[in-house]
Amino acid sequence: MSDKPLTLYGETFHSRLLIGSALYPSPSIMQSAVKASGAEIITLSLRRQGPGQEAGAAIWQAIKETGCKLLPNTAGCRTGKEAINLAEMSRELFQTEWLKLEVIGDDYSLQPDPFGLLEAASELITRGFKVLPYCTEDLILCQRLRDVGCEVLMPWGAPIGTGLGLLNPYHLRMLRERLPDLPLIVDAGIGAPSQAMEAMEMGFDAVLLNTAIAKADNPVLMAEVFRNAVAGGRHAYLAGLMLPQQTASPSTPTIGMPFWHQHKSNNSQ
Amino acid sequence: MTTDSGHAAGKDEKLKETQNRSLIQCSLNGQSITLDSGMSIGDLAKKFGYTGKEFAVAVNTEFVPRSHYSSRYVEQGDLVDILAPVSGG
Repeated sequence: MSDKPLTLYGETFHSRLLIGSALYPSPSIMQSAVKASGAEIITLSLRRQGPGQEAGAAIWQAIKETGCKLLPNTAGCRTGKEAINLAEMSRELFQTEWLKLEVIGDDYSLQPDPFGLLEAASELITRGFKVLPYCTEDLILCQRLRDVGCEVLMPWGAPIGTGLGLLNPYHLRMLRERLPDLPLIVDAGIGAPSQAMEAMEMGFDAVLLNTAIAKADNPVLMAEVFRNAVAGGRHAYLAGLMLPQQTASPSTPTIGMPFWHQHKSNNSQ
Repeated sequence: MTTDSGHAAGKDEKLKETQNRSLIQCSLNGQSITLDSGMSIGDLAKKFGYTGKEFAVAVNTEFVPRSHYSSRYVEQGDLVDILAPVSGG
């Protein structure tokens, strides 16, 4: 089925699945899973490391070899200021202005801090970053993020790493309806291909996930299944889902129904 | 030819030099370290084995661009972070 490519900050992509690089059993399995997923964008991060830490160097080399566009994150930052400084470090090292902006407000749920997020997004956009904020599905927050210049938003489906799926479908649908022209990527909380498909059926432009693939018994196979689910959900959205209704409606024609009102007991009356 | 007294004088000078040398305490990636004063960020990175361009630096939580490595000197009490790429979600 023909479809327009996904366009983010003026760049086009054919895959609507963005993938994380963490938690895989090994760098080589990560590479195979990324390939099977068809993803063109991969997330990664920066952390303190000693100069001789071979594991860090190996995973970085493996990420580079995927050939995917790098999307550095600011995972773990608790304030806008922390996120801004980490963003600058990422831009210098990874040579990209793209940024998955995370400002976490609660350690238990890893829920984004909307105030710190908005502050950081606003500042980073003035510094030339292409900000993809990890946010909640709150409509007003999303409108404010759009207003400060975010050309893509990434509302959560559920808390990071939970695999609980789309916990607030009502608000996600509303967000999609109210911001019809803004690329929206459901990021975090997706645990099963069916949940990714549900997000795509709702009309979201893409899905970003990590744990559901990396922690599967067979990450490479799961990556392939997610690839198909995302494509299937997108096609379903484009094909146009029927509108749900509360009452039953027969799908087989009733006109010409045999025996219609011809029960013996009725005729004898 | 060096005499015993010459050796002693040399040792005294080295001792004096060490005593006069100014040392500072700072933190590198959360660990306390002692450095000669007057070291730049670039000197520090080199001393601790960071080579190439695949790391980024912040001092006291503020990003330090690579172009400032030779002009930004490490000061007493500085908190230096040297970060490198890792996987992420």
